[in-house]
Amino acid sequence: MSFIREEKNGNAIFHMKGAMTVYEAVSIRDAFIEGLEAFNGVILDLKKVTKLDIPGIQLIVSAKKTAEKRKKAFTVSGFSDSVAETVFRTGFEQYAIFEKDNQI
Amino acid sequence: MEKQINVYREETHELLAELESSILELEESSGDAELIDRVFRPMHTIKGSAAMFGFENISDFTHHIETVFDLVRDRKVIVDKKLVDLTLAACDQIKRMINKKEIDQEEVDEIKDAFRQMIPHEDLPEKTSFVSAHRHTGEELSKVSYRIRFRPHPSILKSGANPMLLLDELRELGDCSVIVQVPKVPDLESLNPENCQIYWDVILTTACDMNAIKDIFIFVEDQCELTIDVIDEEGGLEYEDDYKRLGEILSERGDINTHDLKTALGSQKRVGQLLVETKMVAPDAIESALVEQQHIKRMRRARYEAATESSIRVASEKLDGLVDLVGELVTVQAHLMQKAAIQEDAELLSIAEEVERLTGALRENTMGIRMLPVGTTFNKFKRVVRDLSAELGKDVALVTEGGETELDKTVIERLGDPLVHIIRNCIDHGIETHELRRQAGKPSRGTVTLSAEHSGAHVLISISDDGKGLDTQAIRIKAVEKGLISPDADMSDSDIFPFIFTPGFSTVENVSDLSGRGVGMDVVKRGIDGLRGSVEIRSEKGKGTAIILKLPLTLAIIDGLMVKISSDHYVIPLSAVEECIELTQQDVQNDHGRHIVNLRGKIVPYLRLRELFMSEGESPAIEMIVITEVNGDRIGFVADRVLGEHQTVIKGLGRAYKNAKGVSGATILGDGTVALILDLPDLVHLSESDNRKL
Repeated sequence: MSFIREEKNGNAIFHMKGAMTVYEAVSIRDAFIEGLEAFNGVILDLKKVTKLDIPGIQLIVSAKKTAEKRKKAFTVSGFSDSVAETVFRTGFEQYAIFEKDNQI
Repeated sequence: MEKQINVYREETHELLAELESSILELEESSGDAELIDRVFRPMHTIKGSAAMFGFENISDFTHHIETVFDLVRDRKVIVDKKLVDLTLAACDQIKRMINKKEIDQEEVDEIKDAFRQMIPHEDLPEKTSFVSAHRHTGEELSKVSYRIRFRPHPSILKSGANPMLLLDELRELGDCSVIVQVPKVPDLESLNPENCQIYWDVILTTACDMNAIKDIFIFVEDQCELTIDVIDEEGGLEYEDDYKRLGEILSERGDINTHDLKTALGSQKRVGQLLVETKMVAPDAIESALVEQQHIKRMRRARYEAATESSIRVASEKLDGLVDLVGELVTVQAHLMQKAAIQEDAELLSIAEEVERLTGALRENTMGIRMLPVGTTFNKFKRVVRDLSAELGKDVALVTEGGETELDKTVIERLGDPLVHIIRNCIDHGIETHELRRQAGKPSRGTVTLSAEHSGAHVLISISDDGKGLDTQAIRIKAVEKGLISPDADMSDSDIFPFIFTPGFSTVENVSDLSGRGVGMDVVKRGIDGLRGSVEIRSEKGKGTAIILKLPLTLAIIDGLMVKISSDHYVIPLSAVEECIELTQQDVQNDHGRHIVNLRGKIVPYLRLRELFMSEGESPAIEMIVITEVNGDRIGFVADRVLGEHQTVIKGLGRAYKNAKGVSGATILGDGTVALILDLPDLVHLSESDNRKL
């Protein structure tokens, strides 16, 4: 797993690449915490994610909740087929940030 | 019981046809889950019904095939040529068993063994029977909807269990709505990513029992809270759109207590909105309850539609009887209309018009019942093409288009033989060998396209191939040899092509088992003539041939032109009529008995219906010639008077007159008189063979 953090209009854009699973979850969590503290919001680009498991998707949900509490923005700007598969298999297709209409 | 067994036989033949068609499609696109299901379903029904009607041998035999297809469905066995061949052989065997023909037990055992050998070792035999028992007896069982609340303990992931796989397995059991719940997922700071704080509500509608659901969770039962409740069962047929209200669902789930619910119900606001606003219930819980409500409503609606839309099987004789009765009614209605017009009674006329309207609607409806999609017949040819091309060592694909086009049942039934002859000819003589196709720069796989489309009151059935096309020169030489044309005749391709319909006409040097004897295409022509249709050929050398059959939508009614000779009425099919002209005594004297007339500079021969039918009485001073087109030629039919167009309900002539020449049926007129329907090609043929006496 690797990611590039980019800054744009006061937001942190995380370009995630590779697996986003339980093994990488702690480091990603810490990066999100930092991003939400230092910026107005976080934009997550999941287009190059090759694997997403339940801890990975839970992390995204947690980040969304954290952002809401801090009144910061949190959005997903696009995702790969493997992310879409996990979203469907876990029943998250109706969850707001994974709905196509809500993506930027 | 014999009656039921006959129905079973009939149904099994239909199911086998469906199975064959699906397996051939599956061969083309192996792995398509929907297609696998389409193979599985008829097979399962054949097996179940066989046991019910005492055909244990079929039931046992089909079980072996079903076991393998069960594994195909689970992606443990792949669909290849061997499996397709074996399944087709098994279909043939079932047909023999159904018809109680002599069974070669050795062959039956060979097929069974071959299927058994396809089962991977680990799936033999207890496991496969377990799968069957749990999943596939479902079609006979009624479906039940379950609410499954699966709350994994946070530590579930540490044990290596993956809730995602459990959800996948639930989906395999039936129609599933998965609602994810995340209220317990904490903020990032408090999140331990190794803990699972997500849980799920699943609404599952399945024919499996509760044990099948529990089996899925068997390895995680001490690592989760699992509650499974039955929330809906198949009951009567009436459509109950009203499932439980949102409050009831939430209360049943324990998401709200009765007191809070009553308070919320006392308000004017929508329950869901109020409960969220007052924080009595989490929005996720409301969402989950709404999904449950929608799921059950959808299932109930589907159940109701399936029950109400299902068709019933009616013996075709009953349908024919209905058509006859409608025909009688049309006649009586015409009589009533005639009487009302004569009596000039406005009230009676109004009633007669209403009866006319209703009779027309009834006739349309009844004819509509007889209409069937031509696709079922088309699908049968997939097997024919596969077998023929294998026999001839050619690779030919059959493409079908417009299978939904509807045609009268009788037309469809009588279309089978002509189509077989044409398709055989396409494959045997039209499509070239691999080598020749490659040399011609064509794909090595030949294509035969079978298509159907509406064209006014007709349906056009086209059978085309991308083969070598007709050899105009060879047909011409053969036609000259047979004395059909003179060697110096100036003829266009479209004039030459129809010679292939001449009996005994074949340009092929080597006669094969399939075609080339020159008997096929004349059968096609006769068959299509018998259906009051026509055949057209289009062909381009090196590119292919298309044979287009133009068929009437129905054989029960035709639009006709009513003519009269003395006091007798005759109907000429309107589709053949071009125009009507007068024939005076002077014209008759001028042609000196040659029976020809000059029509705008062209000579048109005519036949006198009075002579053909030996009618009594004298011809009027001015007669009428109805100019028609028969087999591509113009020919006139002389009658005393032309009465006008008439929509004709065709009645058979009965056994006593089945050999009568020149007429294809009869119709009864409003006043009860009978009018004969003329068979124009037959009349022309009769006159050509100089047999004018009927």
